[in-house]
Amino acid sequence: MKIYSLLITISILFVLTGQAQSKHALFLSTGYTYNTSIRINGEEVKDSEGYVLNYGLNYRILQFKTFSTEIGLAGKTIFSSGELRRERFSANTLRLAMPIKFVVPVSKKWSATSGFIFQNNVDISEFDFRLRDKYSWRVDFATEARYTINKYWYLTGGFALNLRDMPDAYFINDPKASFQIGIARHTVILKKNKNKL
Amino acid sequence: MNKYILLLLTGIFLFGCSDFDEDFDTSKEQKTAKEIETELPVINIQVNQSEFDKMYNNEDQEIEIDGFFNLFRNHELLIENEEIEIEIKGGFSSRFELKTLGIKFEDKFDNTDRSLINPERILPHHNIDKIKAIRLRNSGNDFKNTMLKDLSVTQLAINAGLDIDLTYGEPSLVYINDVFYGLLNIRTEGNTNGMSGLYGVKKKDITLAKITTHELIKKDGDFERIDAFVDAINRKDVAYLKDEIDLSSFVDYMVFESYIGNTDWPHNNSRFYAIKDGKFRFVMFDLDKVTWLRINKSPLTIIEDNSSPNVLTDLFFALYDGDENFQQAFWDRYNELLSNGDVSFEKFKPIVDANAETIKADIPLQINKYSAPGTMIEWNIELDKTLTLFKEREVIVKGLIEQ
Repeated sequence: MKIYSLLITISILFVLTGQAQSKHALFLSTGYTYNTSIRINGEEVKDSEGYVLNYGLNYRILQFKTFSTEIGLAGKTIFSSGELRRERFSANTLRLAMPIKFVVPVSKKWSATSGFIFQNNVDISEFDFRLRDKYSWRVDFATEARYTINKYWYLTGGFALNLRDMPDAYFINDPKASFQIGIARHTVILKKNKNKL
Repeated sequence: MNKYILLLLTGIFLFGCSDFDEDFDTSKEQKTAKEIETELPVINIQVNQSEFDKMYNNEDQEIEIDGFFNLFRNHELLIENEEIEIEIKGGFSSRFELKTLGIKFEDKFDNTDRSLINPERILPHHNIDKIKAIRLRNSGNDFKNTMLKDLSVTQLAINAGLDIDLTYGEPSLVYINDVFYGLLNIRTEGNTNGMSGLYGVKKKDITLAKITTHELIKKDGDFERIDAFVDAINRKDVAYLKDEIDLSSFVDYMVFESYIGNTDWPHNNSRFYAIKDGKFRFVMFDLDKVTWLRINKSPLTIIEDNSSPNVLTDLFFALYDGDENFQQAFWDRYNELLSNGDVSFEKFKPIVDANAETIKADIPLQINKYSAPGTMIEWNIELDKTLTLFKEREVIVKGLIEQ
């Protein structure tokens, strides 16, 4: 079910292609995610790690000279695994993330970004969006380098780390740190033309 | 713009879900009630299967069926073919696949040998020698999670020696016609039957009302007295209320429920009762939603419960705002319990650890049948969360009270 959801989302995103550089960019990144030390019920969880896939849309909201700020909406899929009391486990998890990034150009081809990624951190099993669980959301610090290939495409590489002090149990299926590389494409969100009388 | 909306909707569709898989051996052999290797008491209920299925599939219709109750401890048949009436119980949780069963004995069951229910400890003002009815409880909102939260928090209150009324229990494996039904907690009841048993009085001597999410339900006894009590709450008649309530018990009850951050309370899951002309006392039960949500809220915010007006909140604040002595007694009791460590994490953790160890070997049966919990790692995660959040709650409440 989840893989279908993922494919549908990616399909929708890449249908939204444009012809000129715009405020919008579709991105897809993947990488390695891990916990350095994690304990459940006093027992160490060994090899707590996995792969992460991020996919979504960035939107430039502010431009000040060459600097800009982006906000995004993304899906985050995590395939994690580990070992507790000599029993192996694996998990796949989907989260909704909202990155907010500050983009600084370094050269014609290169730019650097840093910012924060807000995401839900627990499964929403009840129809209750009040997020009353103290740990129902998490925030990662994220930093990234971008290499512009041409006016449509750019490559990304970066690192993200959870900033919230939370119990280890919340990191089993979505580890604290990740390294990721990815690709993004500028897009145009099509608008209806208004007839001028 | 429509594409943005489509994207957002897709995102929400994806919003938060997890699937776990593990190598843990969950194929615990299906054996009969007599054969199964377990530390838990094993209950085998003999019923007409089609009657049971009809009752099971129509949980809202309050269908009662007859049956026979058998209980094994360590393969020894201690209770044999006791005549019982069975009914599906519970509110929201009665829709779960594993449903809570109400068991009413034909005659009061003699539990002096603790064959039916054998809690580690009981409060000095209670007696569980005669039991009219029990619940085989599916852990309510904790079903699929730890399945021991309610039991463990109740044990903490018992060990602390609080002056409150509650339900006793222990975990068990339940079979229907020798087919595994589920891991359920045997519990004494918190209703009129339960209180008459705990105090060794007749059912007709008890006046009892229940506070639920939507209403106050007068269940048994002197309804005029209940009406007069509620009227006094509404007009904030402090003198009348102080005369009608067992204040020491009420303070312990409000302190403990607010300390554990029960979010399915006070607008729900509360009963008050009186024996003959005695004072009203409150019954604590259904502690499945404690130390989970709103753990950083103050005790008064938990009690205030703006989401749903209710007589218990009104009663508390009528006394709290209208009587300095009550207010002082409330905080004094909080300070006493926190400083003597009776309700601390250090006291709670051994209870949870012991209960977890007791049911751990039988969790795979539950996983096989109900995927509840989904895996052992998920069960361990939920246990860890329960303990961690309890520990945090203690620190938060201590900090708030010091302020």
